[in-house]
Amino acid sequence: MKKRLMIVIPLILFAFQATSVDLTGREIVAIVDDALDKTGGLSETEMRVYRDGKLRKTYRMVMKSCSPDRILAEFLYPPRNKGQKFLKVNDSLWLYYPNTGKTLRISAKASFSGSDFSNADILSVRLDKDYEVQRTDMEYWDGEAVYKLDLRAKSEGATYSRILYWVREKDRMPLEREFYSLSGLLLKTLVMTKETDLFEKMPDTYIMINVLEKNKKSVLQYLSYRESQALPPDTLRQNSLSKRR
Amino acid sequence: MKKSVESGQLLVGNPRQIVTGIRLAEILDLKPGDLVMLMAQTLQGSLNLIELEFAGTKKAESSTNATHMSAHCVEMPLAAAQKLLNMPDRVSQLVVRLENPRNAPGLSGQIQKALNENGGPLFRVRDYASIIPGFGVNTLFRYIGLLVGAVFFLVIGAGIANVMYMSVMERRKEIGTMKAIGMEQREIRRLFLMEGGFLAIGGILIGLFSFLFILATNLLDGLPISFAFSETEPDQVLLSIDCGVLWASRIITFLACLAAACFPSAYSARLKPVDILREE
Repeated sequence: MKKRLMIVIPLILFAFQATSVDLTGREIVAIVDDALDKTGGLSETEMRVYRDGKLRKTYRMVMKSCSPDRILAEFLYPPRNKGQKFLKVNDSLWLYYPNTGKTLRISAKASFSGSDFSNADILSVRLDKDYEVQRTDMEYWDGEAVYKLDLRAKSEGATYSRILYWVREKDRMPLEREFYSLSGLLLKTLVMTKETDLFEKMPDTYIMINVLEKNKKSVLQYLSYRESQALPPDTLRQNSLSKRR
Repeated sequence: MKKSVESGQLLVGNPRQIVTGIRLAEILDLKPGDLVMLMAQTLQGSLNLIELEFAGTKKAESSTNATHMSAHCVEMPLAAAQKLLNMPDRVSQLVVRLENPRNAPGLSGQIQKALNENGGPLFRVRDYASIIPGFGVNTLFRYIGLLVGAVFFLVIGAGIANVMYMSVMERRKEIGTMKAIGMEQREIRRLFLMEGGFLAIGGILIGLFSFLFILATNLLDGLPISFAFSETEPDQVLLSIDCGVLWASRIITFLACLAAACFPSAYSARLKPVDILREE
């Protein structure tokens, strides 16, 4: 009996190891995208914008969705921005101003309300759709194995030309992303950390560091999350932005 | 071309150099030899970033949007721009700047003809009025400005005329005395016209110094005046000074003062000294 156990346990361990080693880059990104994808739920987030090392602005917003292709972010704070809504419908993004009642089409690459995040960083949740993924060498961060993934844009219309992505092997926890321009120069770095127990195995804090300008960063942190709060299909539309819900 | 360089040097064969306006160089604290990172969205929509060497600053031009150009525009070799926009060996547009934008409708036809005379690719020349539907609003604002100016002119003219008239009426006795001691009509008319002229010159000088003071204060605060309707859609109000308008307003004010002084001076010159001196 002991001999059998001794054979079975290494076999099981080998099988687990084989599964993790054999994952392709695309599969890893898909797994992480699934875990990070909070569409279908109702989340409240806080975004803090730092300039010259000092906190300059704090925003609070609620995010609702029908599907990963229809996401709405609505500002709750500060009072000046309250009621402003950012809507993503497939590849189009819209911004609604409550004061004027006007809706403008906005670029996915433009800054999200003056922060270091782009509109796409906040409203586009999945990377596997727009990027080809290649797995490069394993790296070790503080003795822990980390997948290093090289994501290349499928088309020039993607927000970034190249993303280097680090995901912890043991729990598929995303750790960091580096965003590169078409010429290969580094634009921004996103550091993902787990500061609270809001999510079991996923980060709740995203720190976007502007590499081009000194002492500029923005922090996005989840404050609360409720599952199964998806809005009915096709509820989120450009011409329904002015309605209160 | 060298005359247009304020400091540093112009782009000389180095495809990795950049020249900016003086204001932009000040904002970014650039010195010749510094590296400048330039970010733009390519034609296909991707973000691109290139590194260029700051070569020097360009002198401000004497155009209505010189301040805007100085703070917002850069010049670089075509190869660098093509790399930045990811458009190798391609030019999609040529932009022609005119000293007087009002000549654009007439000149666009001539430019198109000249460009297409030599064969090669066919060019289509369009002015802003045909590209931007709302561009015609500028002409409307110009007419509104002229109308407002005309109303101001009438109000100011009437004010000056009133002042001159009152000034003559209050000095009827003096006019009578002057006529009694042998002063001629022509001399009395000239006296009041000169008073009107001095009044005009004084007003113009006060207006000019007030304008220069306001301008200097604004320059110290940093032109152009900018504000944002929203954080994502900043807009800007550019202050431009048209020397032609300044001179025209001075000359018109001077002439208005003289015209306003004409009637009271002619009236005063016609007065009979006996009638005036008998008045209580």
